[in-house]
Amino acid sequence: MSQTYDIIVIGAGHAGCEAALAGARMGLSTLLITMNLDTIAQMSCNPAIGGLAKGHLVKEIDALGGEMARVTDLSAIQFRLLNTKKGPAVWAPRVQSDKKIYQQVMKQVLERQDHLTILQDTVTDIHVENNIITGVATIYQQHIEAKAVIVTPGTFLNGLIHIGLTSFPSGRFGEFPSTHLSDSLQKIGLRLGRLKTGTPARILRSSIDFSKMDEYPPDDHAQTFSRKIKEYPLPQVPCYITHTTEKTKEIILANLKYSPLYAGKITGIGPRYCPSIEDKIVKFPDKTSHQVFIEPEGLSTEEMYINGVSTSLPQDVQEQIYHSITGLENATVMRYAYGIEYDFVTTDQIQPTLETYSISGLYLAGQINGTSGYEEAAAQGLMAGINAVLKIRGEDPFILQRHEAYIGVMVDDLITKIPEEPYRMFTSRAEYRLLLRQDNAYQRLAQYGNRFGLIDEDTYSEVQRHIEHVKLEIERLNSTSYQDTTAEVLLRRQDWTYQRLLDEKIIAPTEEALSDEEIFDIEVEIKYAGYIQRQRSQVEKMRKYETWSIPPSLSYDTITGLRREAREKLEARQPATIGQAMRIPGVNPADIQLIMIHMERLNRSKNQDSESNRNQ
Amino acid sequence: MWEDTIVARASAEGTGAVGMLRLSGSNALNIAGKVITPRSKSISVTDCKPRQVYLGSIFAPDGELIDEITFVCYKIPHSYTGEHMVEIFSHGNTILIDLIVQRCIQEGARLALPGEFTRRSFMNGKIDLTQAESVADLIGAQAEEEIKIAAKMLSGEFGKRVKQLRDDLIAIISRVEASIDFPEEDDVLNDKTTVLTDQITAIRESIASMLASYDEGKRIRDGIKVTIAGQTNAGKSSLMNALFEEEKSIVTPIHGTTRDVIEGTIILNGVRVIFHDTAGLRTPRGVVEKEGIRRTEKSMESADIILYVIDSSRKNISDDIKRIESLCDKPLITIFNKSDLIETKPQIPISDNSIPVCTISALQKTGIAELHAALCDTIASLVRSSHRSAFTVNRRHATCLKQGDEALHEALRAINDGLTEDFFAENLKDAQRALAQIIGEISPDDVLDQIFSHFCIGK
Repeated sequence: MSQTYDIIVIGAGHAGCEAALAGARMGLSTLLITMNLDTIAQMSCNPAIGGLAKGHLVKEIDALGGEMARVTDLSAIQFRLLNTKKGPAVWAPRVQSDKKIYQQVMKQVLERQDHLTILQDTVTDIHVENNIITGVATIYQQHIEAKAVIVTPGTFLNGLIHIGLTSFPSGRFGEFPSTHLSDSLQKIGLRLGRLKTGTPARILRSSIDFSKMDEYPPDDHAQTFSRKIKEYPLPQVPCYITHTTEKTKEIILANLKYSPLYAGKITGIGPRYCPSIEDKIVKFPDKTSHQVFIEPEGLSTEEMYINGVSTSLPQDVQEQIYHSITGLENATVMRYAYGIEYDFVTTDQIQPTLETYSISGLYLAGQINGTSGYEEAAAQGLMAGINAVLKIRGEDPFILQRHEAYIGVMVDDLITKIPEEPYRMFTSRAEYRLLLRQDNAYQRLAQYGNRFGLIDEDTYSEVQRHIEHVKLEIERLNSTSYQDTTAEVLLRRQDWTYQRLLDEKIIAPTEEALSDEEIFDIEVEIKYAGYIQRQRSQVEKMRKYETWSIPPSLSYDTITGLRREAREKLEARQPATIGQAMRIPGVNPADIQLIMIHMERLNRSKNQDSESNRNQ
Repeated sequence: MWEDTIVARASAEGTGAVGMLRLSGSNALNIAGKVITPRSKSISVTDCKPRQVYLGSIFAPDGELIDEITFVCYKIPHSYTGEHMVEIFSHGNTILIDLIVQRCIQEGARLALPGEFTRRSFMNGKIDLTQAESVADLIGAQAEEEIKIAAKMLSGEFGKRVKQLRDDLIAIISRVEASIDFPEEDDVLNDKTTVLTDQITAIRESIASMLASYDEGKRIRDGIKVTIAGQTNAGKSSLMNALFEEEKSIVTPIHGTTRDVIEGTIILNGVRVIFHDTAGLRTPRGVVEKEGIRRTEKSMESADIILYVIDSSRKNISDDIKRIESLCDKPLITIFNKSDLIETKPQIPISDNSIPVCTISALQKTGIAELHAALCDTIASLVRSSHRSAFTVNRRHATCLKQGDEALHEALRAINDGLTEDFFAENLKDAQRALAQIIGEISPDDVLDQIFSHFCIGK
């Protein structure tokens, strides 16, 4: 019996869950295929969601109508707002999640979703006819038909685990890799690269001496990620901080020859921002000690995650390393750390919609696009899901701009630069960082979520009211004079707050009291007005380039003086706009100028032609 | 390499002993091979030895001889433009050279756009933007000193220093960014704010020293402006005529003869010096004189040097002394004119004895050599500092340097005001962009066009 769906999502990790939910919630029949129902939404590495720039992504997912924020809140066992010593644009919410609860909640959401079917099976082949996707084959079914297929295989694509000098094919430890899928992608013409990541050990809680460590408590005032959740249902628990010792260093240096990284066995490139402990020791020889965080994997497990000690050294060496860490002298290891290499699709092959250039209807999201992190994956899954629906419906694609969202920055980065290491979001990647605060995600993005039917009308009108209140109140402060100045100017000063303006009766209370969020928005807008305005005007300046589209028919060969390197990069990457072309490494401003002049000339000669036609 | 091959006359318009034209591009050698018939049968243009002079002839398509020439071939990347190049030296007749250019075009070359050779050199990474600009300056130079400063820029020293500063800034920015994105790591900045502000201040100091060379270089590039000022009938116009050894200004015994500013340029010590003869200073009579005196004041304001002329025969010169003392913030030479009318050297009641004084007779042309000497000393002191620095920046560089400095100033202010990394990082990035613009690594769309449109064909 042959079945037909609008969308098939391969893989039920963080990208796959969001993609499937977006497809189904937008009303299209969606099939989610996973190799194992019990590992849906598994957090393969650390038990935490959010953090620097990643917290922003989670908030943006929420504002677009995704699910990650809500499930995070429902499984949160420790909330902290990081980076509060710095400006509000880089504050970063982060939670420790109970991994099992996260999975259970997400699975239940999927199970209860209309238009969504979940199937435990393994995809063995992707079916394409005339460069258009037609469906997939699985172990149990020869052909399942679909108009769009979203591939989200995580590290499973030809996964190869390394522990010491031993290596074996695996998707995650103890799970099968997905080799057929990798072959199938190559067969349909996609080019693959290789990346590396890893995960540290898990240690039995009762074997840890916490008295030798510092407690790292939750914040007193927890904020939820999702607008839909007001309070965390689970109890909040602490983490612990300890550190490596001189002995750790000795052990690692003595055993480097057993490290697959240093022995040259791993060819994939690992992330520089998440170095293994052997990397840290070798690259920072002056540091005698490195920080280690001990984090609970959940409320109902004794497994503790050892954050900061990633390694792919052999088990016996690992054992020695852990025992050299303060407080872990008698630690019992429950799972050993390992490194994993996997295939990814080089991102010059994907469009800003995450659809591949070569095969219509084939979308990729998550680690297959060279990213790392649950949040990065979920954001891409959501974008791929929305865009698959829009394409099936024949509507305009949904592309977020760099000044609108971290998601926009990430996707644009991916399509203009092939990741050389697993791509992780950082605030410094966002040139309009001051505009993209985690607390204003709804003001930035709810309009889109609402347009796609993923954010309900009530929420959306609330957001609109918020925007309106803030605007009106800033205008009022501007026109309220006080002595020789205005309330707005007073509020710019460091020692003034909105509340103080009210207390000192410089302004009258508004008819309807403003919410804390609205007041926060007003204060930020006014206190940092100079910087914020400047970024807005930079956005305006760039808009010209971002909207200046390059026709796909443009032949870079015909542009006089374009350097060969630039021409090759441009031909490979096919930027849709001048703005994108500007961000391709190896394309310099002089090249951009030549392209603009060339396009301008083409335009003029076209105009002249049409004019001379008219004259004839 | 650029796909098409360009050709243009490189020597100046007009007639000379030798004329030169250049071919550059992937096909330069092939085109030259079709155009040139080498004297020696054993030589072919396409594989002759680079950078060696050969003899040859150029024939019209109908076989008629156009000219006997010499030529030099250069091979990629060892040429001015960084691509295949041929230089042809013909006899120096414009029509002849144009015929040879036409021959090259017949064989597939295209006439070069203004500045295109230098532009290619820049695009092929042979020179940076500051060097490309100095090529235009070098060609446009009208006095020896202008050539010297253009040549210094061509050496690329300035570009190197700007690049160093920009790299220093990028290092600072990346540390600031790291402290934002990795707050859990050791805090890069919190305890080290003074290190950061010191580093920023050091970059500002380097920028300031580069900017100082702008004013000096500007004097050399634009010429030094000398205003001849004084009361009516002090002999300013006679002095002007004496300096130029011609009747530039009208001279009469009538007070207030000179109404408008009269301008003339001579080259002194390799520097262009532009003299302004001005209307005499007194309570104006009539609208015309009033306007004339206004122009005098304006000229004095913008002058680099003032020659203040006093009539030695006058008894009371207290007005003049007052005037001189009010002008002492800029280089000034006091000139006692009409020395032929007095017997003893005049006593100078000026408090500041560093002001040079000359006694002359403009009419009888005595003391003019001493005045020249005094003027040359003053000019030398004005341009001396530009010899000390390795380069002098132009207006575009100065604008970018000032922008960069302003952005760094704002960054320091933000740090002092207690603003955090995410804010002052923006100022630092602005400064970085401003510096990068100078060397052309980041460039707003029109900078390049603006720069290259200043070239004339064939450079």
